[in-house]
Amino acid sequence: MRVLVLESNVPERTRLCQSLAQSGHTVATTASELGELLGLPLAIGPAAAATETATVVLSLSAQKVEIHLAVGVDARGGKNLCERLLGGPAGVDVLRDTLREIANTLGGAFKRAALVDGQVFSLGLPTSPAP
Amino acid sequence: MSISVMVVDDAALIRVQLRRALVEAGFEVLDAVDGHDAWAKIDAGARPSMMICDVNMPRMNGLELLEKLSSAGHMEWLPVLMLTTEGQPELIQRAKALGAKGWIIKPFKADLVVAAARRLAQVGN
Repeated sequence: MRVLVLESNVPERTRLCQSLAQSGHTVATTASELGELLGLPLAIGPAAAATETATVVLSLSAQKVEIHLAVGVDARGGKNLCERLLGGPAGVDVLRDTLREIANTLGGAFKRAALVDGQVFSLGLPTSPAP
Repeated sequence: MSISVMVVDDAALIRVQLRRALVEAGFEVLDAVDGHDAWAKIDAGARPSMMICDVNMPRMNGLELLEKLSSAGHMEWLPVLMLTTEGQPELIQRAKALGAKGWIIKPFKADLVVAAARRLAQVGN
């Protein structure tokens, strides 16, 4: 399973970017902890092989900053995830729901980490791509 | 008589995981898919021993549900445990002021939630 930052309009080299990099480390740590809880490896990386994804948007409206954080699985990872968490095969709707919840959990970790630096992000509801 | 827990979360994954852990621990479980659904069930007469409630949900979020429950006087008999990814102190304070009895941050360990449910259900009864 992959966790990825799809888009961010935070310019590199800004103080906010440095601050958010620290939050990114926290997300990586949370992803690792969540992977342990799920019993499945969860790594930060590109989503080239992902067949299903879910995205959560974190925004700092005053600074017009948006960060899109996504979770993706390939077909095999999706099958493993459903078997591990739900006890057996599940339909695509259930897999998408599961990915949305994982994205939501990681978005929450990012938001909490950013709070330490005084950045209060709004966390949107997680979404799946339109079928 | 078994103790019943209403689980309010828009994520089926969380409802399934909590149901599995709570039923195994001897609780009866009643699901609600968001605050609106939970409110409809309480308003129709459902009387769970306690509630485990997410914060970020469509239609009616967990804090809006707490406000409705509080306004209607239901918080006097219903212990509510918030289970959420949020950790913002202002939100925790707001939930506490509305009568929530606890706040657990996701990802969660099922045994921790079951222990909290057991404690709160006893307090509520």
